[in-house]
This record gives sequence, structure tokens and C-alpha cells, in this order.
Amino acid sequence: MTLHIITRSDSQSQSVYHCLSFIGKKDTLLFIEDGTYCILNNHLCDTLQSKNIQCYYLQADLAARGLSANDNVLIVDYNGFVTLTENHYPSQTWG
Amino acid sequence: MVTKKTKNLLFVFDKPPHSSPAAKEGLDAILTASAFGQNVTLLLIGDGIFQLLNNQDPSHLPTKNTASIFQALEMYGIENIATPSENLKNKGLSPSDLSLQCDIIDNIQLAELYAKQDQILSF
Repeated sequence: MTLHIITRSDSQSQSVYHCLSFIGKKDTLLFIEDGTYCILNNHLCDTLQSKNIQCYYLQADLAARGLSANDNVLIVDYNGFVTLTENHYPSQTWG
Repeated sequence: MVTKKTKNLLFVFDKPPHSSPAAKEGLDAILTASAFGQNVTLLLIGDGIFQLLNNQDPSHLPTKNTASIFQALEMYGIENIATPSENLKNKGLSPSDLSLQCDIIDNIQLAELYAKQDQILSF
């Protein structure tokens, strides 16, 4: 199961849509840096939820940007980030 | 050729905070231009509107908190701050999510804003 790490907002990059097009149910998304702005895109969040894909957001990057989590996503700190990379293979960091 | 001493300068911010020094550089530029008596307008477009989100706390990041500099713009006489209504809508934001009061403009007003500029600087 793959960990897809999204680092750019949905308007900066198509990366979240690229991996959405082929992502499997056991795959996981982790949103960090500008990728955390994806949480504001309701349409995208609804799509992810309907596909039952686990979505994690890095807490420090949400807080830095004045964003807050909702009930449909999971929050990790830096240790959780490391644990995710330990538990998934392979992982891809999307630019 | 006669050169105008006072120009209309539009500063366009289209990038989000924290991941690049663009906003810091743009703020330095707009504050400098304003100090030299130019007519400056700040336009936040695309991800640039995220510069004004409330409650940003980048204390865990190695970057400077530019959000607080935006608060100082009014004190330095920079009052023309605009963002397109369509952009707010696309980002799922309302004016209450923003740390500064800005002019919410439609696309016709945006075209008028561009039409009266002497120089446009993008950050």
C-alpha cells in the first residue's frame, strides 16, 4: 500500500488529481506544506470520502496556514508522519 | 517624454504564504513604493488570498510570519487591498475568514483596476 504525500495546493498542482485517478482503497494520502490547503476544497474532500481513502494532514502545516481539520480527516504530528512512512511502502512525494 | 512622478502600481500576490519568500519580498516592495508616494494597490488572487487567512501560526516553521506584516499595511497608508469575489468563492472563503478588510471586486472592476495601472508587479 502506497503513501501519497501531497505537498502543493490543488490550484498549484494537479498532483492530488493525478494520484486520485489510480489510487487504491488501501492507499493513504498525507497532505503537508501547501498540500494542506486541499482541506478547503469541499468537492475534493467529498470525492476522497466517497472513495473511502484515508487522509492525513500534518498538524504543524495546518496551524501555520490558519487552517483547521474536520471530522473526515486524520491529523498527525511529525512523529505520526514518520510512522506513516514506516507503515507504507512505497511512498511518493508529489511535487 | 514626460515621466510621471507618481505612478499607479499594482502588486499582485498569487502565491500562498510560508512555502516561498515571495510575500516577504512583495511586502518589502509595496511598503517601499508607498513610502516614496506612489499610488499602490495590493491584489490578492488565486492562492494569494491565503496570505490573509486568520489564525496563522507558523511558529513551528522556519519562516517569518508575514501575516503580521499585512496587519501593518493600513498603518503605512496602504488601504487599497482588493480580491476578486469569484476567487473567494472558489476557495470556499468568506470575508470573515480574512484578517484584513479588503475590497471584494467583480471581474469588471478587476478589469478596470488593471486598466488604470502604470506598472504591474507580480509576487
